[in-house]
Amino acid sequence: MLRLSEIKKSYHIGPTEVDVLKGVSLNVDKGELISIMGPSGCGKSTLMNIIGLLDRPTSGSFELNDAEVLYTNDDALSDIRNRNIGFVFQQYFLLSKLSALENVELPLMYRDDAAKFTREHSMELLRRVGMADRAGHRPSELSGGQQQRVAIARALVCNPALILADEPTGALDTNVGGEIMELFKELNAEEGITVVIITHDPGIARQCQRVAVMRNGVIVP
Amino acid sequence: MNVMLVSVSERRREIGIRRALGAKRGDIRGQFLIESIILSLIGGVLGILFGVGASVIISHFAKWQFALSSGAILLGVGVSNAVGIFFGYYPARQASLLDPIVALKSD
Ligand SMILES: Nc1ncnc2c1ncn2[C@@H]1O[C@H](COP(=O)(O)OP(=O)(O)OP(=O)(O)O)[C@@H](O)[C@H]1O
Ligand SMILES: [Mg+2]
Repeated sequence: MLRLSEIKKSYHIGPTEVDVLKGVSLNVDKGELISIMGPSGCGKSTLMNIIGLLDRPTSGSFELNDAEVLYTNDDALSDIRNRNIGFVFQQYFLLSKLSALENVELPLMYRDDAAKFTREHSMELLRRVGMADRAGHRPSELSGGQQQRVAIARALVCNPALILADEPTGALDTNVGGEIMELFKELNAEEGITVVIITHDPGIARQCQRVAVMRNGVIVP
Repeated sequence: MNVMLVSVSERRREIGIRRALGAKRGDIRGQFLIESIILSLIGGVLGILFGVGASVIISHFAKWQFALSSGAILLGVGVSNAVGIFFGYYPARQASLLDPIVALKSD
């Protein structure tokens, strides 16, 4: 599903160039549940943002579903994100002015075939993450764990093949984080969704089929 | 002006979120263009009502002759709409050109 090879990313800060990713190679098969661990600042989020087509690498090759995506134009990348990738962020990133249900429906706004996704489909997803009774609530009226559940329902609304979660439990206590992890495991086992999770929590990593460890801009074997 | 710029920088994150969820650059531009046109129109109508109301009251107490100048109204509303639409749309257009992650990370 994902084939990254020799991915490099550097930033220019004034005259100096900082190499954040120094040649990352990583394959993820369809249906895998994999976590990425590593010390703070080693480049995990940078890598995840490249995998999620939110950012472009400086060099390397990246195939998503056997198609090279590095030279794909911006509009096509938006479509790939919308149709194939569900994002879950540490800070949830819900829109504060929208209700839980409206947040779940938000990605549908950016598809021309949105009509085939009913409101019941979005409600069903809220039910699935245990948030059906909060459909009308704003994010500010929800706890962190509840907001993350809504964010997961939003990530699922377009039936993605891949979920990318950057420290999804990083702002939650261990119990709530464990419940969120259970959701990811269910989605992986029952729907066959490929899940990539960045985490600092060894307890979360242990529940994944595979752990990739990053250090200083590379994945250590 | 400052107020509008600040609120746009807050909305850069919203733009980043929408882009992550699949919004294209054009979708973002369209949303902010429509939004700033609507806001400017509402502002224009409120401005006319307020201006006319204030003129009526002032001319009544000052015993001036009250007269409406459609040219002045058009000029005032036109200028304020142009400013409003520009400052609503232009920063959003710039943000739509960023990589989604840059917009998402802004705070
Ligand atoms: N836009 C940027 N400009 C310059 N440097 C950046 C930029 N984004 C990230 N970096 C640098 O890249 C390095 C890796 O950042 P990244 O966010 O990928 O780390 P991380 O492994 O996710 O860390 P954490 O576990 O703390 O989230 C850091 O040293 C960071 O300062
Ligand atoms: Mg990070």
